[in-house]
Amino acid sequence: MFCIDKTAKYYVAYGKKIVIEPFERASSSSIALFLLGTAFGALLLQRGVLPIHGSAILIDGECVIFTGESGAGKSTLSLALREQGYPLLTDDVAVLAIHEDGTIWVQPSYPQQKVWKDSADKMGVDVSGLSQIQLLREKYYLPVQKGFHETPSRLKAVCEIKPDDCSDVGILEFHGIDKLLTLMNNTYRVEFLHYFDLKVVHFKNCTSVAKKVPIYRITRPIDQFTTDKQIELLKAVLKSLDSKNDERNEK
Amino acid sequence: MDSGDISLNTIIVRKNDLPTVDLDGEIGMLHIEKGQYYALDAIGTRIWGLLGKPQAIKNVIPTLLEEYEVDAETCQAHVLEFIGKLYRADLVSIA
Repeated sequence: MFCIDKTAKYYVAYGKKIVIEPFERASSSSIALFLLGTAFGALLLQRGVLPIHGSAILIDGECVIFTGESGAGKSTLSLALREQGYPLLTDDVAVLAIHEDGTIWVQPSYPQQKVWKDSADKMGVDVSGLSQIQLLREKYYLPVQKGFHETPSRLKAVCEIKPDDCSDVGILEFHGIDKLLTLMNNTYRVEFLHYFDLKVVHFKNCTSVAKKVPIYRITRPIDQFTTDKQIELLKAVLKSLDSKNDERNEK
Repeated sequence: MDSGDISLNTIIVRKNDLPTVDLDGEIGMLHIEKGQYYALDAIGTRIWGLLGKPQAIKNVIPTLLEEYEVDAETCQAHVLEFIGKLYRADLVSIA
């Protein structure tokens, strides 16, 4: 159960039921906003899947997730990649499915989610400006149906973006427990993991992913537009990953 | 018994029913009842490995002295401190 001021109370149960109790004069768009964001996030955790806070882009047939805190630059980097022609699978929440053979897949979501969630973040600060923000955002982004990938795809890498007090963009690979912590910290709506059985499932999901998938961190200077450089470093890392995988396959 | 009672002769029993993962030689685990996550660094992971069977603390020291560049006194102090932490975190018990 959670409650959003001036909007509604949401009750999410068993991974299959959401009950909404709107407050008087709540706008339907703000009710929908928290339904698609927070309520669905809680629902996904109850279902035992792993929702990672971030967007997913298809690069050469496999998926890369960009995660990080709000304002880290996930959407900006995905947008820059979209402009280079790489399709988007999901924005804001990347739902991971772990198959029985141990492979990890990213579920596509609906393409309009970005608008909702970005506005929702803004909402926390200023509720009254909602409709303007939505309009602004809708204008800002590329046509929704264009460059959207509609089928589940293999997860290739997870990349956390971190604005930092640095002079240039950098990329590093996480190892060991840091991989696990990165996934845990970037789980969408992780605060809903109150129940211990959910925590066990979440822990196991994170460990399965941490064992299979390389996890990187891109650090970028604050207040600078550096997506070109970020993409360049990312592509170099993915390329060396491919050649490592090829070597392994040959053996 | 509080952790102040832990000595080199204390027999330590590892909790083996916790969900645990080994990632590049570092162990992460979840204490289910507490809902709390714990991570061990490389040396902590080695000590955890040496505690696979219930054991007196003094029995793990010789292996560590062989594998790491450390004198016996420092090693004992660190191991006792580390196991005290494991005990307070309820990841091990005392036999």
